[in-house]
Amino acid sequence: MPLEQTIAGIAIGAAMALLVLELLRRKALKERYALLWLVLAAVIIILSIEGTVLKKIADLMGIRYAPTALFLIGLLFVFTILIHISVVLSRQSRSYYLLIQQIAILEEKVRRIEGTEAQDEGPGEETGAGMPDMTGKA
Amino acid sequence: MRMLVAVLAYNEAEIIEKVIAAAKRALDAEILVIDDGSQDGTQAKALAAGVRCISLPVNAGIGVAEQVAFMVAAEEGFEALIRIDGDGQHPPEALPLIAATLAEEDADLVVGSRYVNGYRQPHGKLRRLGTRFLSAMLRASCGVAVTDATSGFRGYSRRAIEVFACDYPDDFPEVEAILDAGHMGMRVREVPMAALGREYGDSVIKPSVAVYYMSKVSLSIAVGVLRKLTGSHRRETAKREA
Repeated sequence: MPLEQTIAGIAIGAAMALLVLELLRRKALKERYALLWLVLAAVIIILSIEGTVLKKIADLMGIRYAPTALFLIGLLFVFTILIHISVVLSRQSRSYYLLIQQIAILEEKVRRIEGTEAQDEGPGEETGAGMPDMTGKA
Repeated sequence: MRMLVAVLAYNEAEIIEKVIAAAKRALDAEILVIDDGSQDGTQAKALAAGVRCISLPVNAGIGVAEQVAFMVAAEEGFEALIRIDGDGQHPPEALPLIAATLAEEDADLVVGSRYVNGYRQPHGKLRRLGTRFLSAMLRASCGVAVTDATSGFRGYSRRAIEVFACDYPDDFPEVEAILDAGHMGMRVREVPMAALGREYGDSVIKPSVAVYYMSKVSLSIAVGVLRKLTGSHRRETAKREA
């Protein structure tokens, strides 16, 4: 692999790693989601330095121009990371909805209990329904 | 039979009192309004009408809101649940029929259909075609034959309440719920109802939404078939009903 390509590969990998580390330092990114990106950066750097490994991989896949294999590997990594993120997002939306539902149910329960207490203090009949005067939204 | 009527509402302050009053007249059952994060004072109107109202803190989608009704019905020991939309598109006169079908016919899921018994409804050809397509897909995938798979006017037995309280689709849940019910061996029935059309507000189905709707629902039916073939739904059914 020509020197320029090696340098470019190392620079891209290093820039990626630095960006991820900076986000970690600012606590804008959780370690759990940073790992795959760091692995990708490391793979790019290693393959750029060790041109023979990349050449072998390229030969195995029938790719004549070795740097193309680097792009392909990078693409597969990005694909994996995005699928991972989509799975995490789906799981999180489920928890988010569950929280919304539980808050709403509890809020109504509290409103009813407060309503019955207010009725116990003053005159009034038992309706089993929420107090009509509690109309404020959380 | 202890029955809960859940009125699903999103920004229906103008009409919610009318819907509640009509439901009260039609059926002697406890009424619970599920307010899906309305910003127009729907909750205040519902409470003023003297019924219970659970308000989601944000607008989360019809499936998320409806599941709250299943959760409440499951926890409070209701034997049946009827869902009706808060926009006035469902005729409250059909409530007793759905209630009676749940009570007498041993059904787990009763769907109010705009298409049985010769009722004509105001939808366009394309929408009718979509509904037909979904019905055909449902019949092929889980053997349940319904004419109006997208109807949101429906009743649920205790068994359905318990199952859906644990797991229910987030958005556009109607077709998937029938699919789940079919796969789990629940008894699905249809009863006729007239479609009134929305009295207020915009129609929910915009072209972009319709495309998403058909794609999402078709995908979930296909995945449902896949789950059936791999046996994963059977394991889950056992787990859910344990």
